[in-house]
Amino acid sequence: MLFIDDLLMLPFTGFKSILRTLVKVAEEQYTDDAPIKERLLQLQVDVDEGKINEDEYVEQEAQILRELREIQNRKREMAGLPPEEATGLSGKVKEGSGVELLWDPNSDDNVGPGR
Amino acid sequence: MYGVIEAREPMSFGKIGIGGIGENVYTVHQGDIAAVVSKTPVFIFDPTRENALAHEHVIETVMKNNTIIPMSFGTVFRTDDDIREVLKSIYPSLKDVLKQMANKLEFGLKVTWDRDRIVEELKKENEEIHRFQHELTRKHLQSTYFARMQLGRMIDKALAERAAEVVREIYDGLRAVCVASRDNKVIGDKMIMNAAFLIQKDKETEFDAAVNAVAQKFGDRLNFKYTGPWPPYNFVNIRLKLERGTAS
Repeated sequence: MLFIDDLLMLPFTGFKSILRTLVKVAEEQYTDDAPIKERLLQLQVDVDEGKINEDEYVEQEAQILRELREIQNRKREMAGLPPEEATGLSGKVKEGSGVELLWDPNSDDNVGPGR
Repeated sequence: MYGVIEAREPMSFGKIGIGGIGENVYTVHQGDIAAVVSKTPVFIFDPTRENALAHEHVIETVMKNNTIIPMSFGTVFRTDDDIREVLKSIYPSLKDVLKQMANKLEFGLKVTWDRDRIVEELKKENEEIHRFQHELTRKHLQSTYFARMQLGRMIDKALAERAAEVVREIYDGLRAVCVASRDNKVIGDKMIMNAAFLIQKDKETEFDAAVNAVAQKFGDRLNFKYTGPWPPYNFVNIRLKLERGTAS
């Protein structure tokens, strides 16, 4: 078992760095909400196509939203914020705010794949 | 807050506010523009279908007679004054975008195909795949892991190429009757196109006809799901960098 031998031969610091990497990967998975959002989108497609009915949708949606909330709270926790933001937004707008068009009204070339 | 419209006089859109308790939807003004809002006892809305539909319904109601810049779902301000302050801060860009979006509508187009059927077609039509599969059968290689992997990769590549071709053709058929388009990420492995189109209001019938013509051209090989009109979510972006209010 060459592989295991190699691992055991690693100096202590090297082993610690592997552990750190593992922790980092685990943390990323632990706080990644993209797959959950994707599931929610897929669920909407499923109910639109009639693959599942409204009741099933509501039930699964609640489950997905619970997971999403959990991850968002976890993220806030890691960032040192309280678990839930229980206040509304203030009107104080910072530099760089505004509305923008996501197409160019002066161009004829606004249609096509990859935009 | 649901969005921003052009309006000088206070307006009411009925008791259709988000939250399920029939809050009145009204306007908060700053000069000749106004935010469409309703009161709410909660600050956080879960993105449930019910809440999203309520948000959507308000925007659709407003859209019937107004150009609206839609606000993202679940944007809650503390007071009407906070909203007025926001409108004031970004007034020039709001005015400009309202002018550009006047008389324009968004439509969605999702196109799916029967992946298995296309794979069968490719196995017959794509020379490379056809030959490779023939080889596999002839040499009884069918069961080797590597050969199957290779065939799978070839099919995936051919599928992606075919999808890109089809999507290009669809865009070509619609280019003349729309203002702009946006490609969104496809959902699931059957979808090959998930696009939004910005249409001049008076071109709506022409766009309908063009979508039908393209759909007919592909017959039952593709499935078109055409929705709208929507507020122009995919063509404007309200970027607000806000300071969070404190609880006190």
